[in-house]
Amino acid sequence: MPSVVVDRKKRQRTATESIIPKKKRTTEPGSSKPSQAPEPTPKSIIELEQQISSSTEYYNNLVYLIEYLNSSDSQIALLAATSLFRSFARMLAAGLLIKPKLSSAALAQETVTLWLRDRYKDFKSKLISLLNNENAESALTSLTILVRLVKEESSYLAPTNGEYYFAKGVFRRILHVLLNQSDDELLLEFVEKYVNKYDDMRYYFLHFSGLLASDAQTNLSDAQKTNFTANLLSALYAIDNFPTEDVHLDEFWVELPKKSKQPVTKLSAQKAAFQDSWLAVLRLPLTVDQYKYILQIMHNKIVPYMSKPQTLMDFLTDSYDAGGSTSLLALNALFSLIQKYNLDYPNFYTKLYALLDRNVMHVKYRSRFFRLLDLFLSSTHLPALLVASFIKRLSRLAISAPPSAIVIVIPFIYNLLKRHNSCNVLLQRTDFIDEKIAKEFDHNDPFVANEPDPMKSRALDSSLWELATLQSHYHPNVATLAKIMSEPFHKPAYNIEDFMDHSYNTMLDAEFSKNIRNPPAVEFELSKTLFESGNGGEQAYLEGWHLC
Amino acid sequence: MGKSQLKQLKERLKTSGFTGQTNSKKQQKRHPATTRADKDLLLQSIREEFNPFEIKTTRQKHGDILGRNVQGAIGKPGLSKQIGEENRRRTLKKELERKNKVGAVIDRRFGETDPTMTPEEKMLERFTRERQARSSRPSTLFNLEDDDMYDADTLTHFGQSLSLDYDDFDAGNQVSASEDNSDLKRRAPVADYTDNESDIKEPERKKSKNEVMKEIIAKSKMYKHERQKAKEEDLEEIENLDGELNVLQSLLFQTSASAQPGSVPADAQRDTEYDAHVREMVFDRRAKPSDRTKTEEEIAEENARRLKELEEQRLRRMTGEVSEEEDDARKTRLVPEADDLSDDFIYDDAAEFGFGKGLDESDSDNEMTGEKPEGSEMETPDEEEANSTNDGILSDDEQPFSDAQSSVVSVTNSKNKFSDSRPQVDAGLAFAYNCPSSYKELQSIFGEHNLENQVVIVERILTLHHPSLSKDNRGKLMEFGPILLEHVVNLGDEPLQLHNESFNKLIQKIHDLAKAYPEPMAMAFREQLAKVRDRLQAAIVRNRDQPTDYPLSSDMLLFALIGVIFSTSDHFHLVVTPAMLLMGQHLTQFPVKTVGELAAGSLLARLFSKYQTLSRRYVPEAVNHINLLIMSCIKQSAIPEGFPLPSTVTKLAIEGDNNSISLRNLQLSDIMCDTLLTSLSTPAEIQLALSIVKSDLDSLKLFSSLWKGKDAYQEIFMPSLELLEILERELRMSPKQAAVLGPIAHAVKETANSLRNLIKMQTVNRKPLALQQHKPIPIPTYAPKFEVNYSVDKKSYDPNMRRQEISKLKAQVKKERKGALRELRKDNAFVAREKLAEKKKKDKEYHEMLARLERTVASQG
Repeated sequence: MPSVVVDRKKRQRTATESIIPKKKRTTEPGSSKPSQAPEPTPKSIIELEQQISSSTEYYNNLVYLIEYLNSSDSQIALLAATSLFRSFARMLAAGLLIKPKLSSAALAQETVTLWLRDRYKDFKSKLISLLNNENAESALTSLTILVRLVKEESSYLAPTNGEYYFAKGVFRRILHVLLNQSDDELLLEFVEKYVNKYDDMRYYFLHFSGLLASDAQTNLSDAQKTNFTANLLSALYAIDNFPTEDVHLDEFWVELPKKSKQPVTKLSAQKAAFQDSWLAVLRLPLTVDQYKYILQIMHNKIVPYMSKPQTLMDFLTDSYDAGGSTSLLALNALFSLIQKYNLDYPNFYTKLYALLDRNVMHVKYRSRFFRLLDLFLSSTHLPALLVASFIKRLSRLAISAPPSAIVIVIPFIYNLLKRHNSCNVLLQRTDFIDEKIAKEFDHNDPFVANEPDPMKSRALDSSLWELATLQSHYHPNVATLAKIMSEPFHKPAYNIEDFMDHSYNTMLDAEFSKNIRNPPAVEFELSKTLFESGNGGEQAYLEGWHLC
Repeated sequence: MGKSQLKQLKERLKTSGFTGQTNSKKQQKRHPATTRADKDLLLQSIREEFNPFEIKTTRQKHGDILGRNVQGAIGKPGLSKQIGEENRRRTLKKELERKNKVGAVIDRRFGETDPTMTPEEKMLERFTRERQARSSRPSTLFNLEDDDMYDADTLTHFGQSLSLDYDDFDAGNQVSASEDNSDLKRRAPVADYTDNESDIKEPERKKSKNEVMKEIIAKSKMYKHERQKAKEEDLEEIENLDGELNVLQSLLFQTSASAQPGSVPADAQRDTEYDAHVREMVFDRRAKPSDRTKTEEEIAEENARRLKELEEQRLRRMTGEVSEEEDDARKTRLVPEADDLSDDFIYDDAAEFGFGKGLDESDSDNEMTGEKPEGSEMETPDEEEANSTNDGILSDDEQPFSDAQSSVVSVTNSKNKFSDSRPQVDAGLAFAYNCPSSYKELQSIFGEHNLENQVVIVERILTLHHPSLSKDNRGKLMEFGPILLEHVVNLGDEPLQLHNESFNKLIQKIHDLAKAYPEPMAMAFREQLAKVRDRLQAAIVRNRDQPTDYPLSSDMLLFALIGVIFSTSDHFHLVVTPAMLLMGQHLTQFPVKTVGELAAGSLLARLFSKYQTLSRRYVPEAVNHINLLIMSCIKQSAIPEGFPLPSTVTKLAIEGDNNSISLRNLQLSDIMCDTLLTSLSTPAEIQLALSIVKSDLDSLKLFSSLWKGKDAYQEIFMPSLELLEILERELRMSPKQAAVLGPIAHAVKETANSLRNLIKMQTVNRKPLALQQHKPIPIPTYAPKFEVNYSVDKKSYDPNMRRQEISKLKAQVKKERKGALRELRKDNAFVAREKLAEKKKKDKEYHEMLARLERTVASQG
């Protein structure tokens, strides 16, 4: 192969040599300061651009144009930027910006190249600073130009010719600016337009966001970190259509050589980048809301796209042990790990039992949790002691729960009892009159409420008095539902899903939508005054309350 | 057995009397049938008995089982075939021969077919018949009584026969005369009767053509005659009228000339008046004997009985009893069949209990069956009912509120007593008011009047628009009720200006209206509730620091009104159930920030205890609320388990020595107090806060006595007790806390003690549950059913008698059908055979004829 390479070099050299004679006619562009730039008008900008393309002697125009970028008139700046982009794109295509091999700066054409490269760098840093411009239009345009430059650079500035090259430097700088911006509008635009569309963009985005996140961990102040995290999270949430097979990786921003084995074409590499990025984010300080939201989407938006979801285990275990609603949320992702990735979780049911705390009936994620609980307790091979503990704990909680939660618990317990016949003693115990047990507990409930281990809670010796009490709940439908506990268990199972999504509001809706069919009963007589009168006298309906 | 066939035959013949001694007396006695036919029959049977070839036996596969007699196992097919053939020959062949033929010769000779008659007997019989016939035959053509003559040409007059043959009592001859039906029918009903009888006696005979023609002629004659008669009558009538015309004309002219107003004679007027009176009196209702005046005991007894009845109705509503058929319907829905695959059809389990569709709205009123109208006062009032129920508005024998108002209510009964009652409020009040149809109108009527005057105005409106005065009034009052309710509820926003006594009177009015018109009033209450709901909703979702307009004192007043006006013990109630849900939502979800909100919660908890005084239902929200309140007084951070704990609970920030503060009763206006709980400073505010705590402790005590006997009593109240014990300990241990909460220390101690005792008492009595006491659910079995006394001959073991009957009938139908088909098939075969035979016979005759002809031709030729 070396012979071919040599050949190419030769050809390049001849190409550069052919330019030199033209350049010699002018003064060295780099040596003298350019004279005063002409007044920027759209017309003059186009003129300057045309001059650049027509002859090397007008290269100084680049300097004017770059200065125009600072113009307060965004129109001018934009025009200048596009002109510059076109000019540099031409030069890139012509190979004028390729880093000279020889270090001897004496050669004239190499001096020109170096000078041009410097201008090109100026241009890029100007554009990058423009990204932070308040004017959304110019920020967006500079983003577009920068991304185009990434493409141009990747195709023409490859260190070794013909090899795959991605302009990582520019890309990383863009990303750095975008991620540290105070609002994520431009970032989301970027994600939507490029990251979600082109597979290589996605790969490098994930790759560099991971790197930047680890940098941010050490370099940024707390406020900056918060900002950075929020930006990165919203970008990561915005990434959709993640590929599921290698063949789907077919859209690239930068042209790929045929049959190349670059990591961008591999799903595994993409997944690894995704994973690195997420793990880096999770190491950053998160707010409670972010944390909860991540846990909420983890099982279906993060876990499936990671190459090694087991790496999330520590995070999830910590979350699961945190208690409260965080645990409830972690449960979902943890379950998907256990189910699909063979994660072995010791004392799972003990921890699950611990999740049934005093507030579980009141939290927002109640129905989500009960869906999972139903899944975990659906096995008929669970020991009766364990199931009885769950049943008893649930009914304990139901005694202080709102009606909408009681409505879930009762059919839930019904299904459990139906599944585990040996737990029926909780409802029906005729042989209990065991003097020893009776004495030991002094007629108290043998159930040990604060025992963390469900196998030791003695729930199987207890009875579900709580459910019997709920049969006289003030809400007629709840009371009727609780009555299923004293009816024969004919139904094979209740569909828990039907009872999940109730709340005070839905119940009130149902009540208010009922029509009058029979005239409602009116109290036969008013025998008391409503409020107590000042001088005592008759007993009032509201004892201890005065009208005024 | 053992004897040879021949010997057996000989023996049989001998016993039958065919062989051996013929003249023995014994034998003759034994065999009375000595005629030839009898003998033949006997011989025939003997012959059959000894012919083994006739009998055909079907071989049984399993031989003889338990000596069972299988039908059709042994038969004589040849014989039965022969019998069938003979039968067909006798019936079917006759029909076949008669096919397509009209006339026939019927052999009516005597004895021709009777084999028992001797020829002499036959001859004799024929002779007598002949003689009889001849003697009854008319001798001459001119004999009027001759039957034949009558048929041919009878003397008639106006189509009626002049024959004397038939008089009314002659029933015997009707058979022959029946052809002249029309004639007969015109006679007496007796004729009809006999005619019918004869019809019954003799099956209908086909009429001959001759008879039919005669009938037609007779009918046409009769019609003609009738027409003539009618025409003559008409003519006569016309002539008569023509004759009277002159008289009529003179009358007509006379009346038109003399008819003038007032000229009716006095007598006539009196008469008409009299008539009118009589008519009125006819329509007057008769005086009924009135009930005698009841003694006091009787009245008391009646009242007691009525109260008992009402209490029974209330109890039924409380237990949510449903009528039988609805109950059945529900049961059948709840119990699925054994092979019920629930994926065949989709239904919502939750909807069965009336929960609606979760996040969607749905009108599932299945559970509304919990409420049934039982009392007469709740049924849709028709006209009569309206009168009785409206007594509630005006009657003065039911004045539940207070004695002071009795005079005012009596005003409403008699308008002329207005001046007696309360002259001080009457000043400046009009006597007549329009019934307001909108809230604005009511406001303009009330204007600046104070509460006392408002009560009087309302009373006057109700009196003036009593439904008995005009039929429109009912509708007006139905509109007025909701308006008055809105007014009273709005009054609650300015509780300071209210006077308790007058306010109670207004509530009394609302109660009366609700009793009379429960439906519009219930709707009005529900509307008010819906408004409260909207504001509560907004208050819950608002930011913590945003101001809210939710717990208004009028909202609380509304809940209190519902409690006194409606029957809160019902299992389901259209107003009370949503109200309780709303109260529950407030206690659970509304974040308490100010003292006023605390007071509102306290009022709601107290109201819950009042709502459930009779039905004693469990309200978790109320206990949770009280627990949180006790918790807010506690300094300690370790909180016992057993009740939900929101993330933020505002602690009561009371400082300093409050021992000098004495607790007071709460007021409705306290709800409007908007001091933050965190910034209680003035003694008045501290007094209020502590009074609220005290009030809640009282509510807790109320609940603890209300829910005695609940199975989970310990679980319900244990957290409260533990909290109270912590508070007690703090009060004992830290002098600072004792100083801060000084005024309620006693109440805390007392409540804790009573709770402790009650919990102990309740748990001692507690027994393990036995909820599934009913007989166990059978496991479906697929083992074959075994009958102990099974018999093959018993056709069915179906326990369902009706089904058994049906299957029996079905089997019978099937059998008959098969038999009929078989018979038809045999009939067809027989017909075909006969036809073939006939054809062969014809052919044979034809060929013979041809052969004969040929022979003659041949012989001639």
